[in-house]
Amino acid sequence: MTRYAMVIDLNKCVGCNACAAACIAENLLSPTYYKEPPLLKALGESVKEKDARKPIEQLWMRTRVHRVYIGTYPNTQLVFVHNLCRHCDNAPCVAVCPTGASYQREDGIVAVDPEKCILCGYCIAACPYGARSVNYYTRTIDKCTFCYHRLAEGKLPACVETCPTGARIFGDLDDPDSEVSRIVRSGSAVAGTPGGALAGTRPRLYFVLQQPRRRE
Amino acid sequence: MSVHVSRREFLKIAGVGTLAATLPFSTRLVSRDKKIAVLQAKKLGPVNVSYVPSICRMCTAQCSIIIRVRNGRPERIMGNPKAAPLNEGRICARGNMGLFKAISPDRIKKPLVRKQGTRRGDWEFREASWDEAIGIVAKKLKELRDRGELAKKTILIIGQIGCATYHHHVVSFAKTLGIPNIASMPLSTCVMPKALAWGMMGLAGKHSELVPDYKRTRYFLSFGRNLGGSIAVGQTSKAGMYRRNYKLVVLDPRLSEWAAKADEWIPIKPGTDLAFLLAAINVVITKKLYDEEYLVKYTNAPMIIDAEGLAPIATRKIKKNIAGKEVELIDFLVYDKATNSFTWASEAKLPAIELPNNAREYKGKKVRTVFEALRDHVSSYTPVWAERITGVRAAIIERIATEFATTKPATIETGWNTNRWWNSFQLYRAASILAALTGNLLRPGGVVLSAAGIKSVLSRAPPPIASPKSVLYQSELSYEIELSDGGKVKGPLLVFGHGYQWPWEQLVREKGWVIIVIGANPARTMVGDVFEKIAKLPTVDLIVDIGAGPDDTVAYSDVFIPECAYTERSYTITGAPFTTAKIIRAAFAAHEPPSDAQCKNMLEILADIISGVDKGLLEKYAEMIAEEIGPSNCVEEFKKAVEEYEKTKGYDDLTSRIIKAQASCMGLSYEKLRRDGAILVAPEEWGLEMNAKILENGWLNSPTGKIEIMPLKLVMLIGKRKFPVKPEWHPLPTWVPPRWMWKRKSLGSDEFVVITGKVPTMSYVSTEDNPVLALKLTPPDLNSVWINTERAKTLGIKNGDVVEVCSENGNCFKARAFVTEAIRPDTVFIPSNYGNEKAPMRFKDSKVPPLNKLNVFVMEPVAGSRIMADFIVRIKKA
Repeated sequence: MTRYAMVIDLNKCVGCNACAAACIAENLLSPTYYKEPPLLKALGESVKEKDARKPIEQLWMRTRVHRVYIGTYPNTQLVFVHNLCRHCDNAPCVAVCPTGASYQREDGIVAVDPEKCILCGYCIAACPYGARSVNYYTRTIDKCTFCYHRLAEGKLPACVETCPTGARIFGDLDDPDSEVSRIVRSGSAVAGTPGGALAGTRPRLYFVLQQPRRRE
Repeated sequence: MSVHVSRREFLKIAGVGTLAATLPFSTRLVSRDKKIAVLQAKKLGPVNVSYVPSICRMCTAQCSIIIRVRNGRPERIMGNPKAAPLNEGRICARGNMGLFKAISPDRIKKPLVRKQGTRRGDWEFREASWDEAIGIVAKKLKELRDRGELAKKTILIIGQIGCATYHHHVVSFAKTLGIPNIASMPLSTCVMPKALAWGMMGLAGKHSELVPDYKRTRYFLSFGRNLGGSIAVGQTSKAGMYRRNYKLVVLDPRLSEWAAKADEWIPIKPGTDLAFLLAAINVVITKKLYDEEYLVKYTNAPMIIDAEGLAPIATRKIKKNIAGKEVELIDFLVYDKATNSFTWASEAKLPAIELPNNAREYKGKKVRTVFEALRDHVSSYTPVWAERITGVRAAIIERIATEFATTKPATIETGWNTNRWWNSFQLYRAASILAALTGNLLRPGGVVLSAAGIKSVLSRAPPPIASPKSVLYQSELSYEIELSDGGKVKGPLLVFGHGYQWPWEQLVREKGWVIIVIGANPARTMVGDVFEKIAKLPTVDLIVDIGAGPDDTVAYSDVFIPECAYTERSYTITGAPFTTAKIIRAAFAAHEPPSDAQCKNMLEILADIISGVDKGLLEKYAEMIAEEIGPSNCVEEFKKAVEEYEKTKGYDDLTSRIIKAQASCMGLSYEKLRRDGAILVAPEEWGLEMNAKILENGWLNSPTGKIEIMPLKLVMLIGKRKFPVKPEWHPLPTWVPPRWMWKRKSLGSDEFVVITGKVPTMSYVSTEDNPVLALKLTPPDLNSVWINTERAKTLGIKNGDVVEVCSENGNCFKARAFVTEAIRPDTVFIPSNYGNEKAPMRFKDSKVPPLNKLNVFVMEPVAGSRIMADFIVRIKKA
């Protein structure tokens, strides 16, 4: 069996959003995924100047790194918050879906079948991680797929492949030799959010917390 | 009539899809062909998909990329995994979004010529044919040439892209026409102070040439650089991937992305890193934590010099074989502890870095060693002294200095954008000495020469100084600089003549100037309003902008000649920066420009201009390409390529032919290069071995062949320029306050010191009109002026407020405030996103003031570059 998981090492992430850019390039710009890439279409000749920004402003994102500053000077910290689907084993989004559009694959990836999605929005409300959004172009629910179309070709998810500092690590939890297995087994990673899993969803996304900074 | 309704549509119609009704898009139901087409794409199959290796041009770090093209359309840019160990398949946000350079609706597709009767500065252009635009430029240059004024009246400006990418191409062009005046941006505003500091010591100091060995280090002292914001994947990836293997200390007035990753963030007072490093040197020497064996074997620390001055007491010339070439070096006197006598360094067994009491005189003259001179020179730079200047507690400085010296290997920042502070030269001198004292130079895990650096050192390359005939050189030489001690000198210590120092009087007095801008945006990168002022001079006959546009510089030009997007053009064979591995790379055109576009690659544009001036010069152009771009044994092949190009005039034709010729002259497989884009010739270990050889055999590019703690080149240069020994260029590391500090005693209640830095989703020119980068991925804090919370409160400024930022130079701009705990109270951070006023860009979203217009026009005193920060602004709520 295969159980895909991702580990994000916050000691390495510099918040550059290369992951978000690669995701957009892979999934929203590229016809491997869409017959007509929405962004390319949005930039077509027919688009009037005043409307050009609109499709970009409406662009949803499957993954994004936010910057949060906490503490007071000089004990300030800059924390990078990663937002993407946790691919939970006990996924509330799957449970609430009235049409079965949201489902979990055998390899653990939580996916949406656009043919079945009716855009009721229940899953958006159910997800404690805020990982789901609306794809304005297909008008279905959209979320991170762990790039399963790439996995099928033996490639890594686009964000993992591009991450300049190697902060995103991907692999198979059922393979004891994989890096993700090793990290999860070592106990240095927490599931779901840096504060732990929310609502007992058993997430497949782990965070290695940043070492605390020395304070005088 | 029956209507087919799918299950999903039925449910929607039935009202389950309540969310759909709130969507801003038309509520027309989704038809099948609009649905996600994973399966369809599979059915369509990979019709004519090709993967073309290229080199990223979104910033100047030159990552290797692969461009996926489907049916002739560019589809995706990925990192090239074959480019190990450069970026190894990784690219940043900018690189991922590079396609917009080709597909942007704002792309200028045809040459532009200023409409008659309009003024420079107005966006008033008409589209012109390729031949007309080239013709205007060539005709003007020909007129100058016929009058014998070409060399005197033509000025070339090459910028960040121009210099990192097209330096050799532009120099080939300039040499062909005999134009000595080249103003180049990285040289004038980026690398020179540190390149000179490391270079003087015997190393090579450009970004691409000298790097901290992040991969193998255990301790990294970082300052003046934000590896997390100013991302060069070739470097950031190594610093990031091995981040957990080393302790990271970051000195930065701001909690930058890199400071956020540090084990220790030290919010140091802006511009005072030098005092911290000097105190660290003091600690290392006082506590005897230096690596004596290293100093004795590989440096000139034992060199006997005058006890009163700095001159070596005795020298002689010796011949040495350096990597197969016979070179003349300087041998110097040392005190040999093996024989208890003064003897030549080349013959001594045990040179002393500190002299015994009975050996303090040589032939009646009082003497000391370089090490002793250094020891005494830094003795007043105690941690307590540095605390008063830097605001960092003495105990912290002492602890970090001790950790740095006792952790092996340790590495130190080599510099990036080093013209920010008045004291940058001494800053990197201090860094280089700290690295040498602790035995971390040219050693794995320390500071190492990259493959490019190894080549530069072994070829004993001199600094890239312009011809003294250049009008830029002349004007730089005559520029009066006020020093921190109130003294004045004419011109910087080392006149490069590539700076943005302009021959103002000549420009105003004499008629008929032609300015050609190549891959640059001087309207936004030249400090002050200089470019605008030049553009408005009636004595300037023609301003030509060759580049990818649009930017503000186009607005000040008479003719714009579009360069094709980088995915559309190929690039001559080149190496790889930042790595000790030897990699050979080339870029190939992935797709054609749009059918309605008229653009060419740079070599072709320059060839067209040369051909328009005088067809007879094309042969010389080929010779210059061989000399500058190389290899030099390829002249005949290049001549043929130029000749063939004259017949076809294809947009990428000359470059493609040159690459083929290069490959054959270099004995490389063109097919392999075309397929992989990058060929690993020698691994990282080869480069580390070469570093060891250079160190151990004394092959450094210094007069003595050793690492020079006190650089003889610097001593000689001061003598040659007949300059007094000033703190700014003292041959031993010396405290020089940042300019804001010696100009002002204290800051007013509304005053702040400006620091600047890069934003990970933005670079200077390639990203501003990028829809995803500018509108989606650049967070508001990186598009605002950073002000400390407490200071903002006293000024009544809230987060997101519009504030007025007024510079020392009188210019005021509105900006958005980011009120934050992540910056020192006395400092503001202005991102170096240069803004844009004139060029039509529909995806621009910059709320920061143009840094160049706030900046004070000050020349850095040692290398003559333009200072980019180090000035004071007043801020109030607008």
